[in-house]
Amino acid sequence: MSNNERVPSVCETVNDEMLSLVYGELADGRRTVVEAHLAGCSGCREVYDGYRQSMSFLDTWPEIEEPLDVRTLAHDNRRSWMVRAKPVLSGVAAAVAFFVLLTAAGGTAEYRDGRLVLSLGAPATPTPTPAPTLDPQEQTEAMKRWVRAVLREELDRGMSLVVEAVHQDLNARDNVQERHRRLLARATDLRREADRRDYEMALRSLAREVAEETNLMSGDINAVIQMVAGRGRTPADVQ
Amino acid sequence: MDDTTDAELIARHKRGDQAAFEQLVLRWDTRVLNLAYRLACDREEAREIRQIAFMRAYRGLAGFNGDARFSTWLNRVVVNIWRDRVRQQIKRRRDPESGEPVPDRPETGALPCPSAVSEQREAGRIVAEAVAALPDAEREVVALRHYQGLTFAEIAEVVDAPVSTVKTRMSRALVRLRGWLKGVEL
Repeated sequence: MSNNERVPSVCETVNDEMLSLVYGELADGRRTVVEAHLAGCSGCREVYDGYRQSMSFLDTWPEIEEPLDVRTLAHDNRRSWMVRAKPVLSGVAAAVAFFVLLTAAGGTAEYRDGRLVLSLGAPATPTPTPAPTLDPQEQTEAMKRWVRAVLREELDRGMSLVVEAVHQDLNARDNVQERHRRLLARATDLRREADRRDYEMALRSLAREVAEETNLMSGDINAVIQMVAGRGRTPADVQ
Repeated sequence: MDDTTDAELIARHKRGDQAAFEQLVLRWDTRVLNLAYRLACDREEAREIRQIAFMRAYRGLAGFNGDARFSTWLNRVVVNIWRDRVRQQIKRRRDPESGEPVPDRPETGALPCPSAVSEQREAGRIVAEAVAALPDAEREVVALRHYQGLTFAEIAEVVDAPVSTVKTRMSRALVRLRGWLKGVEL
């Protein structure tokens, strides 16, 4: 009997090491022990052969070879950066393009009193002096101010989008909470309804019992009345 | 034969050497692609995962402190990307009314593997589909042990589980595969 108890424990140990053996991870000392056990234990041998067979199956699924074009990766890294910066870049690009078109059409752009004043072929405001023609440095400065204004606008727009998204998220959460509240209220109503029905049933049952008892009592009273009426009072009753 | 170590290339990359990162990519490209392929069982998906993995590696190497081997770290990146994508796909398949997952994949929890290797010989295709039908946790271990050649201890690091659990998953996967593939001619 003691031999029967010993065999499973060896098998369990070997089972634990069998995967290491099939994948060549078992140290030499243990490998010899496990292999010796496998030679004499048909149960463990079957498990071992099963592992080997599955591994042969797995070997039939070949690798794939598709070298990555590293330039694509570099492009993608740039692309991911550009995707993040796209809203700002598009704003700047639009501003620059507009400025170039304006300049090409003979227009001017000035930044006066905190406002951008544009004019196309004629002065923006009637002044006694002819419309000033901006020198390149002034034009550059005007463009910088304009780009800053556009960037600020883009930033404001981005922030308002974020705020809107947060509001939507909060609203969605409010909706979920509202739904939970409604469900809770409904559950409470159902519970109350169930309680009310229970009370009604209990009261009806009580009423039935009372009615039955009343009937019994009235029967008893009638019997007593009939008995008393039939016999009349005796001297003992008077006493 | 290039005998520059991964650690040296990483150090050069951190100093801004773009060529060092490209060298790392060339060195690990096939292994990353094939790990993704064994996990996703789909060429297109594997390419996508590889692309994301190298982009994450590019950005994440600055924080790589060398506690683990680069290969372990990179394998973990790939496995995590695949897990995220599986989760997203499961989330997308949830019923909008009940929120319950829509069961359009095998009971084993694996993604379908649409004729991943149709141009290869029949046995390979069948095995690919069998691997695809394994539960995700078992498939990870099979991909990392059998196809990537990681030791059980290294896999434990990648999947963040004890070695005993990793071995149990591998054993179950091999037993399952044997049952499914009985009678298949190799």
